[in-house]
Amino acid sequence: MKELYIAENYSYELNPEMLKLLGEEFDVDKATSRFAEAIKGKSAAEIEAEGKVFFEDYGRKWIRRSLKLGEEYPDRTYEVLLEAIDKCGGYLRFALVPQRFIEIAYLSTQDISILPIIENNANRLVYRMVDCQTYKNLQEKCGEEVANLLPCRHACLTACETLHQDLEIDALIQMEAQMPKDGYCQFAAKRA
Amino acid sequence: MCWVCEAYGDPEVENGRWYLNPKNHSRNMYKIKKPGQKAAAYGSDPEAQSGRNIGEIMQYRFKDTEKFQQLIKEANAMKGSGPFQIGQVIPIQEAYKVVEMAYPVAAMSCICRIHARAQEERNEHEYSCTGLGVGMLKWERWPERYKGGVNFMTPDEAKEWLRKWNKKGMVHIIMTFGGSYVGGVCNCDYPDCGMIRNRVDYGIETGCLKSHWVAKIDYDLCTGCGVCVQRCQFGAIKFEVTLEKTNIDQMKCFGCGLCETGCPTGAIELVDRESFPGLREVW
Repeated sequence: MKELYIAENYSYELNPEMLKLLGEEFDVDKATSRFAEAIKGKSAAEIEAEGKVFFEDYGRKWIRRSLKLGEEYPDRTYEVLLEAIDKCGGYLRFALVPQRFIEIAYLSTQDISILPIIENNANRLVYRMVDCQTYKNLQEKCGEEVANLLPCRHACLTACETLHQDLEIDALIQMEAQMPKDGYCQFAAKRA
Repeated sequence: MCWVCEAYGDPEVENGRWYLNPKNHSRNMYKIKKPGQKAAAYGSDPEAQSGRNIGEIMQYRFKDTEKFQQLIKEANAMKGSGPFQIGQVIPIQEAYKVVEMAYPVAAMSCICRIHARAQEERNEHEYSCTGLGVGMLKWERWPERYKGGVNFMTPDEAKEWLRKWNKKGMVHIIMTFGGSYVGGVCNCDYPDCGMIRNRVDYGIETGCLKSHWVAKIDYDLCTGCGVCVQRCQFGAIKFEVTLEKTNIDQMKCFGCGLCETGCPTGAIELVDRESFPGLREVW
């Protein structure tokens, strides 16, 4: 890091065009409307099964698209991170690289300015979703009972699992808190 | 327990030590700005703001000494709600734990030495301060602060680097960077370090709280070499001429451990402050 860069030529924040693209492709309003349509007239057990398939598929595509666009639209923060990872022989890759793509995914599709990161170190990546638009939409469109089944958790869990698999990082993904019970959802990736 | 541990520690994690709580080392990497909102300018960070607030107090040092003393009392009473950085002395054993947990760790030049001695630390061999956490990935935004750049380190490199500064006689102080978020570990000495100087010379406590440890001497092992006296930045150790041994004033001791690491006979050890009823609340 011996050269001094001209700071004003760089952007250290996420590219707004990338966020807009992702936000449009994975619009939670449209996704929850499609889900509401798909579960009309179905039993609780059928809704659970349908929810798993629907949201796992959504989550997988959402994070893979975030990964792809995140690489196509790098920012200076990411470039410095990659330089630091290279300098430290790969140390720092987990949890900071997954953290970046998870932040991209949530910041582009949710109405939040930051994603609360509870822990990020060599052993654990833990993040929290408090004011979730997906959950609110499920409450409005499908009712409280369906929302409380939390079918949308499959999107977040699958996204986190898929991300770590595609980055070839061995991690155990867990849900540490759930919106209906705890008032927020919290996800943890624990380095295996 | 110190007030910082009470406010930000978790009793189930590392004895409630706030600086060893992983949550205080974690932060988001990105923020979505509102339309038209620009990135924060240099000097708007907690470190610079804290410095300006101390400066506001310092201007009364000669202008109005009574008001000066009053402002210091008020600043100390504010504790966590005050507009100052929190700093706490930690021994090297705990500094090692911090660099294992913090992510990333980057050595950088010391802002206090630039101010106190007009001394720039020009490369990674001279850097005496560390920045911790994802904010360090954006260091280039503030080239005036991070002159010469930063040097990202693995935990093993960071520990070796800490050992180097400990051997030279520097006190490790852990600093916050906004709320309870741990921003760095400084390697400090008097009078270069603003935090130590503010505490020792003027009694401003927040930036330099005592550690959770206190030094204790075994007189049977002490040979009176005086190394510990030279290494103490806080005037807590005195050579007793008649005994030809050193004595530690535990009320003055900040628990930095420099005496312990410098003692050639192992006569000094750090003991938990909690084990001395009279020192439990002496921060």
